[in-house]
Amino acid sequence: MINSLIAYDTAELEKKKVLSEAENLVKSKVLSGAQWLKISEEFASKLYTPSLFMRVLLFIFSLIGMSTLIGPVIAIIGNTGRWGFQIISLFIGISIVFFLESVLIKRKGHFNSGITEAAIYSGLSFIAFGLLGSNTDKVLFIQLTGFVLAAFAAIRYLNLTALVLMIVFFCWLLFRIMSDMGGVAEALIPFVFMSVFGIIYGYSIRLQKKYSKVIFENQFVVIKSISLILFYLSGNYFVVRELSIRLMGLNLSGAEDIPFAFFFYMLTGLVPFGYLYWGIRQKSVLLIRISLLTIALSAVTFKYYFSLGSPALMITLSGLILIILSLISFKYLKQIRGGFTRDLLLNDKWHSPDLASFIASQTLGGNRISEPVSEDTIFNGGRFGGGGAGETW
Amino acid sequence: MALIGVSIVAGFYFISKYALPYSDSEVSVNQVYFDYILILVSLLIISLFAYVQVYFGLVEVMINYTSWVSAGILFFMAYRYDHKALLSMGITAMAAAVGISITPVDWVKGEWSATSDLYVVTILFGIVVLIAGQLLYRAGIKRHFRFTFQNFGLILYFMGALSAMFDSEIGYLYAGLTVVSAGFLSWYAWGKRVFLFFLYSSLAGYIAITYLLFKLIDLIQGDYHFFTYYFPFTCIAYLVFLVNRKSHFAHD
Repeated sequence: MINSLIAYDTAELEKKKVLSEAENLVKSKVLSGAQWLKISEEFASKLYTPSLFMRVLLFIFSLIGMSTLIGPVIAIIGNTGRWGFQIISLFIGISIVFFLESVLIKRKGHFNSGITEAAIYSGLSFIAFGLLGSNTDKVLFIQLTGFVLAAFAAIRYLNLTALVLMIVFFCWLLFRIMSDMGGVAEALIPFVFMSVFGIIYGYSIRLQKKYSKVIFENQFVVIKSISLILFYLSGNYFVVRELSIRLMGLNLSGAEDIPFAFFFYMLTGLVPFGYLYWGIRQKSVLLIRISLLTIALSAVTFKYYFSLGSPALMITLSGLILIILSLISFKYLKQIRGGFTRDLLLNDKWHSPDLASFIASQTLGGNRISEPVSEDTIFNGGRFGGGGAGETW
Repeated sequence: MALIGVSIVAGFYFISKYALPYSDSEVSVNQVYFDYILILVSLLIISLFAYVQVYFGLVEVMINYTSWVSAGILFFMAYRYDHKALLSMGITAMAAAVGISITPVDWVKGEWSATSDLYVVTILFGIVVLIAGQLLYRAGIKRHFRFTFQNFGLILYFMGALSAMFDSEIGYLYAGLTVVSAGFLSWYAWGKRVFLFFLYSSLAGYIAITYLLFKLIDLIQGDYHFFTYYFPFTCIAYLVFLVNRKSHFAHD
């Protein structure tokens, strides 16, 4: 059933996945050259994905090319007023998606070639604009359109960005509905979010066991990490407090606490360590990585409310806690415990020394002028990322 | 300060215990903590250095040399113990050193004077980094470092050239320079299949060509409507051109 929803040929997708896994094993010197030759013959895939940097190049140029396509069309047809504009936009969007389906995917076998992504984003953006126009007063309509289009791209084209967007729109929708209901529903928002993402996490683990298809691997990683992070954030004291004040008009003076404050403090402190514990128990690198991230976030949260006086001391302390935790886990995993060890047995695409060195050099950017953090980010993505978390890693 | 000093000594003890002797080729130490300790010690030395300056009120005296010293320390550590991350940091520190000591910026007083020549410095520094990487490669010293040098050199070079294009009075000259060098680099990178550099050169070249066209239309007082057609058609034409040669960059 799922296969018919996906635009690509799933058999070819699986071959491609096997091939890249095998390539990885060859690079890690687990497989021999002769074995590799045999595998690469047997699993030769018709799908076309260029190398990474060419993908970026193709993506940039096709995004500029496709998103400016509306210019010539308008120039030829002439000014048609607002409705005409929306209809043209819808038409262009549908044409791009049609081109993507019939030419790029069916005939040329493109898969994540850069051009396909650009076509998905620009095509669906044109469609969204065509449907919504510039009137933003129908609030639920926006979230619903966004959610449906993102879900379409996430499922049909297996696009990961669309998957993230889909979850964002889903959160927005849920939040909007519950805060519009007001009263008890409003107060229950954190708990509803926690249980929803707890359920999504648990369900995705079950689903992954059921469909152990290799082609969905990345999708599951994204869904699981986002649900873990959102589960943590919906219990995080800072997030709950700030969102209550900003979006739901809760009146609090500086020292006052939100309702159930103790409970949220507890969640902020305990959830990350719970992740770490379960990560080691269940041998999941994902859980461990997320636990380190959330520990840093918790440190920042507690710092925000119980300052030790000097920020330098606080940063040093939280860095120290992270280092000590990593060292303890390092030591603990020195022996192989349940098939899980600290040593890098296989090559991972994220373990590129060139990339790591480039990122490391960015921490040295001494003469950068710090930008003021914008105050109205709804999902609080930006607030934590700066000073604290960045430096202590 | 004492704490930092003690940590440095302890770190160096650890490093010297596990470090392998220097060699021109790639050296990898078989000790899990080694890389982390190395970075930690290097950064600690630099912090100690900064602390000493502030503590003894040497900031104003030393301001012209601090970044050079930091860069020197980082380069030494990078070459002695073979570490790319430290090399990148060294290049970054050196860029700061060049930026500080050549531009008329008074850091101590926190005043920004005119930064008009900054892009010239950036371009020249980029070229120097590129040449240094190439020379060291020729000399056979740490050949695997060349990519880092090239990457930083090209980024600096193109960033300098592009900002010069928009800032300077003689922007068209810089644009011309960018087009020529990007063309050459595209050809070179395409041949060698270094697609990251091909990406840089394509983007820089496209921006420069577009800039020149804008200037040209300005000059002949032409119609800007031209660009309504220019962007979609040039981009798509370039795509078709690339995709027709896709066997060249099929897979990694």
